[in-house]
Parts: sequence; C-alpha cells; structure tokens
Amino acid sequence: MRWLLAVIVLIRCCGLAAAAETAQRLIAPDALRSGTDYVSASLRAQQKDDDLNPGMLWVDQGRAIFERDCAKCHAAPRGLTVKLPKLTDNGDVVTLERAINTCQTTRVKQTAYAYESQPLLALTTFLAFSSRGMTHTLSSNVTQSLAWVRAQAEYTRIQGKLDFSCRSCHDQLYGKRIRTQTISQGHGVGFPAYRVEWQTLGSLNRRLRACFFGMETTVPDASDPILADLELYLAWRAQGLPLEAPAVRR
Amino acid sequence: MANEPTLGRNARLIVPPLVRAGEEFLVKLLIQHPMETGFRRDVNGDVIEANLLESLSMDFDGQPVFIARTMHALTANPFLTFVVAVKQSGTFSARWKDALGNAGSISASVRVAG
Amino acid sequence: MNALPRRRALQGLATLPWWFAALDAAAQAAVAPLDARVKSVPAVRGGLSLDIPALAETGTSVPIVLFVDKSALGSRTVTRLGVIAPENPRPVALEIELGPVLAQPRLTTAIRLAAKQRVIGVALLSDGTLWQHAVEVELTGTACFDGT
Repeated sequence: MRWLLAVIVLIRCCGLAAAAETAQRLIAPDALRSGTDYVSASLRAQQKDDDLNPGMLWVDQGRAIFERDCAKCHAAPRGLTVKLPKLTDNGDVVTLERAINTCQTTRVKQTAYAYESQPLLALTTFLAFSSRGMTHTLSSNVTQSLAWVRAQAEYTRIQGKLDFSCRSCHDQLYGKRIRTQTISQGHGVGFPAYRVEWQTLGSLNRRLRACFFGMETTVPDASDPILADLELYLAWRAQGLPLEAPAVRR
Repeated sequence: MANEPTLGRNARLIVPPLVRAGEEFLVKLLIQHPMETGFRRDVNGDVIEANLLESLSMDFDGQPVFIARTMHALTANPFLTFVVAVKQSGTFSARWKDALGNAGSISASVRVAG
Repeated sequence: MNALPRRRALQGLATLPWWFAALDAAAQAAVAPLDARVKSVPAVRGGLSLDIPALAETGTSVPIVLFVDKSALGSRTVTRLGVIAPENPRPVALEIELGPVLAQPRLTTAIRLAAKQRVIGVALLSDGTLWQHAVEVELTGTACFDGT
C-alpha cells in the first residue's frame, strides 16, 4: 500500500508544480510599482514637470503627425493604446508600432515607419501620453495564448553569462541593488521613455533589447517576435498600473 | 536610426500666459538636440560626428535675457530655466544654431495684467 | 584614455586667439578662457552657490542650479555665470552672459560630466569681481551595459 501512497503524493506534487507556472502574477496587485518609484529624485522631478520632460518634445511632434494623418479616422487619441498589445486571430501579437504601421500602409497609404524612427517614436509617445493615467486592459484569456506561454518561458528562462532571468531580478529582487542601481519591477508603463543613457527617447522594444544586452546574452533583433510576445506579457503583468509615458529613466 | 525631418516643433518655451508688471516668473526652455560631442563611438567603433549647439540666446522684445557663450557641456536635449520680470506684455524669443548649420527658434508671449 | 591629456593640451593651446599676447592685462582677463581667469584669482565664494548633487546618478545628465544671493551684490550686477569641469575634455563647461530681463542671477539646467571631479561654479560681477563655489561630485556608473 505504501507504494500507492508514494505514487499519490508524487502526482499531487507534480500537480502543485504545474500550478506554480499558471497565470498567477508574482507581484501582488497592491504591490505593483512603476519604474518611477525606483529612479532618483532628480529624474523623477524632471519626469513630473511636463515643461522640462524631454519626452514631451516627441509628444509635440507626435501630435502634429496625429492631426495630419490619424485624426480623420480617430476622433480622440485618448484610450487608443490601452488595449495594446493585443492578439490577432492567428495568435500574433499586435504592438502599438505594428498597429500604427498597418494603418500607415493600408489607410494613410504611406510606407511603413522603420523601428525607432523619429516619426514612429513621436507618434507612439503622443498616443501613450494621451492615455496617461489609464491602465492596460487585456482580455482575460490572454494567458491561454501561445504568445503568452512563449513569453512566460522566455521571461523565466535563466540565460546569459550571468545566469540571470527576467524573473530573478524583476519579480524577486526589485528594490534591491545591482551594483549602484536599484532594480525595478520591470513593467515598462513609462515607455516610450526618455532614457538618459540613450540621450534620446526610445521604445520598450529597444529597452528590452538593452536588457538582453545587460544580461550578457543573445540580443534579439528589433523585429524578433519574442519581443512583441514579451511586450504582451509585460502589459499583462502591469495591469492596474497607470500608464505614465513619457517617463524619464536613467 | 533614420533621420527624417521632424514634423512640428523641436523645442518648448514655457512662460505663464498672464503676469503682473514686475512680478518674477519662470521661463523654461527645452530644445530637442543631440548635442553630439564627437567623443562617442557607435556600435561599429566609428566616431559619431560632433554636432553641438554653437549659439543660443533669448530675448524679450529685443532686450537680452541671456546669451550662451560656451554651452557644450549641456546635456543632449537641454533645458534651461531662468527667473525673469517684465513691465509690459511682449514676446520671449529663443534662437540657436548648431555646428552643422541647423538653426532653430521658438517664441512665447506673455501678457502683463492691468 | 591616452588621447585625453594630449587632446586637452592641444585645446589649451587652441583656446587662446593668436592676437592674445598683444592685449593688456585687463583685456587679456576679459578674453581668456574662464578657467584661466579663475586660476589667477583667489577663490572667494561671495554670494554664489552651485547646487549640484554630491553623488550624481549618471554623468550624462547632472542637474545644477547656479545662483547668486542678490543681497550680497550691493549696487553691482552679475554679468556672467559659468561652470568649470576640470576633468571634462573641455574644462570650460558652460558660460552665459546675463541680460537685463533677468530678475534673478540664477540658472537651472543639467550638464554632462566626464568623470568624478571638483566642479566649480563661477560668477563674474559688473565691477570685475569673480566669485567661485567648488563642489566635489562623485558619479555612479551604470549597472548594466546597453549596446543598443
């Protein structure tokens, strides 16, 4: 009989192990904090003053583009970004950049914007800024998508020369220091953001690539679908946090 | 990264719309400019060509607010804030030129009450 | 890093105009690069303050407030405000001429520092007085390198 008991215990343990990797956010909703809480006081002050936040320069330019190209279809810019990233019927992730380029080629009838091009950054920053204070609203079954499962696998994968995973820092060690910097929860709700290190404004896509570089592992190309999958995953993780683009980050 | 010409403004000049005569207020200037030092290298190891602002000044209806004589240590996308006071309504104008010959300017008006 | 001292020496030579030696002492003082003027003058702080963090998060953007307490001026005005960063490739970091529209001799901005150093704020008054306020600034490095 003892062997039966052992088998039952083994099955229960496997079941528990499987449950640990289900769609449960590791950071409790009331413990969610954006990156703004982890930067220095002077960067925070610059972010909060729209007159001096360098990201606002891109907002101004994005507004001009929106009024020229988008306003004829979209009555108001507010709320356009909160449902993104989203999933297409065949499971691809549509990021804000991809949605803009679809409009750009099919409706505005212009060539698609290149990754990190100035007009695309301006337009995405303006749209993200226009949804300031709102929060991501993703459909509840997003965790059953392949994109989410792929992203979760990448997010938890230990990789690179330093044996880091995204989870080890951003779910488990936020608030602690890595060398002289404080680790944030890695949400990205402030993006597109002005990053002092870049001396310019940049997208979440670029910031994720910089993370891979920092982890000393293979850096995906900007067009690699895993980055879009990760943006979906991060938006799911950040639900409840107000969007605050353009943030000022170190 | 492509360098298309930007649509819209590339600077912000913020002043209060309405002030009292002689009352101190803030003028905030923010300029979109890479302020490339010429010391940085790109991912291939090549030097990124220098492009710094070479002249920068602001006036209020022709009266000088400031003239920058040396400014290469300003950050990229620099901001400058000053405390000013005026006696009558008028317009603040800032203008600048960089090493590649690109010129920029921005204006903002302030109204003096009474 | 080896290029830096050589470059600085060449810049030191390059910053003085060729006709400089022909000027008298007062004119030389007016034209000479700010740090040359500052070096020959005893450091008096006067009413000047340089607000700069002692520990800067990054050298790429260090916020500063440079201001003069007007009560220390008497009948004089501040004609120029400047910042010297001796460890920067170009030590005269910032110099601005103040105009009559300004109500306060005060500048708020952010500068770049190449290395940890003693940053010197400078104010030139209408009677030729030079005030200096030096602050030691330590820089913290980045935790993770960004190759994008």
